[in-house]
Amino acid sequence: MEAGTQAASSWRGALEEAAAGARPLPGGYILKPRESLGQPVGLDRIFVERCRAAFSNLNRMLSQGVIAVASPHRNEGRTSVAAGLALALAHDTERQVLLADLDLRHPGQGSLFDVPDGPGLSDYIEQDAVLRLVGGGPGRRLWLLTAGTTEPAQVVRLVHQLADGEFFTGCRQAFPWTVLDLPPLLETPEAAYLAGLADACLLVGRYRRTSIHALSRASALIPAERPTGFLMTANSSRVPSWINRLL
Amino acid sequence: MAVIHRWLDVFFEWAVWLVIALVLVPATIGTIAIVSDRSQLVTARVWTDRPALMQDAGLANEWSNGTPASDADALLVELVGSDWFANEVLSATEPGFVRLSADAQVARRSTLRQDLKHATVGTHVLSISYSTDRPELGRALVASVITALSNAVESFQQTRTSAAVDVLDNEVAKARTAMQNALDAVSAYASGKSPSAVLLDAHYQTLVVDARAATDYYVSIENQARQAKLAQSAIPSIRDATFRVIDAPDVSPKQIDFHTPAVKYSLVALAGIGAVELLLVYIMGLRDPRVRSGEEVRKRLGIPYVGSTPDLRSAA
Repeated sequence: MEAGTQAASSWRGALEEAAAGARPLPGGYILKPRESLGQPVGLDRIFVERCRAAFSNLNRMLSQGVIAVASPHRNEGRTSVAAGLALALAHDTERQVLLADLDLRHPGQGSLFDVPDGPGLSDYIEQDAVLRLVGGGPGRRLWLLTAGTTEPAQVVRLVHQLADGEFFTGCRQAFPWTVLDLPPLLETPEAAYLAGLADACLLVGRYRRTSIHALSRASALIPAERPTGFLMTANSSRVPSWINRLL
Repeated sequence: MAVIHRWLDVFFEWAVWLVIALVLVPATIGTIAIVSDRSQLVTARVWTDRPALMQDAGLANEWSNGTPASDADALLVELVGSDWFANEVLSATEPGFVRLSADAQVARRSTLRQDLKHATVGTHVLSISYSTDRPELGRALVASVITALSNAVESFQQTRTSAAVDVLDNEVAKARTAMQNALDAVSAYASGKSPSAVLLDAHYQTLVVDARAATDYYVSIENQARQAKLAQSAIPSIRDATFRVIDAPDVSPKQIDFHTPAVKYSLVALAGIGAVELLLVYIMGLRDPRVRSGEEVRKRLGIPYVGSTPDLRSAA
């Protein structure tokens, strides 16, 4: 218990230290950051608005916490939804939001925000380097923790180190909201474990690509007590809206 | 509702191709059928009229209120529908027709009824056409139809006139008897009385007036009967004036007819493709395992549906 508390405070310290580089200083001075998040590719206002609406429908009780964004397979819009959700939270709550890319095998947030993936989370754990967070977004309240560079064989071990090191507790202490971009639930063994540590889960399925069967298997991996909602991405249904209203 | 939405989603996903198939396939079939149709149209036109003597004989009301051409057209409809007329025409045109089996004869009569078209042109002209890929046969067949129609029209006129003549003859006999009785009554009343006395007798005058009326009616009806008999005897000789060919059967320029098999095949293809497409949409909606709406995820998996995002070209 004591070791866990120390680990959590270690993560908290690292996160806060990483984020402090660009925070306003006393006297109105702002330390110029070395790098900033770019404009996320393709995430327009409508997309972020839809993520905001989805989060409102999912979360009616939490005022802060860790939201996991998961999907059964790759290329189902999970990374974009996680980014859109983090942007919406940073804009609406006017509080610090951490977006953590936990898909260590195929990181995607770095390229989405046009920043290098390394050094990142795995480098911090493995090499004991300085934790790197890249700030940006509305009011510079969004912080991206990239996945870093990892050997695929080391991923499961790193994830367990992450959980044992009270990473989630540190996130809750350092940031009001944390959004996790999880690996695919049906393709990686660690995704379900990570989803179980979050406070709520957003299950993502792509319109006309994800199968109902895959969603069923993926939802079975998420602990039942976690508030879970389904978000359908790439909805390009051509059914006229007036018919949808009738139905 | 989620199931209906699924089928609608499948339908609208493929709507463009479904509509293209629905239009293109029948249009292609119709075009091929029209292009490959080697049949030619043999057309003839005949002049029809009613005998003028009929009106003189007071028989105009024996005819319909239509035009001479429409009467002939209606008669042809009835005749072509009868087997004896079709047999007569086909026997005259195709020497081997009588030796065909019963089923083959039925098929030939059906073809005749399908390929023979007729329509009125104005008040007096009737156009008769036959679609065939053998023009000589078509000419002979149309000529045979005209001959048979002409005979039928003449027979029709003869029948009607004969019936009228019989009625008039009967009426003349009755009028003659009535006239004779009236004259006899006058003679019997006047016998044994002086001429000066009967001239002042009111009853005698009444009998005379009755006799004169009976005589006038007899003369009138007898004249009408004579006219009717004259018309009856004149029917064969005035045949050319009441029914004659003005354009002999000949091959006419081919025109697109929307009652041809091409259109029929196109409509059948349209209905068939539509039914197949509906079946495809039904099967695809049933068998497609992919998610198509959040509602079906909520109903089947029990996970709350919180929303959807639009399509992004670079969704990761």
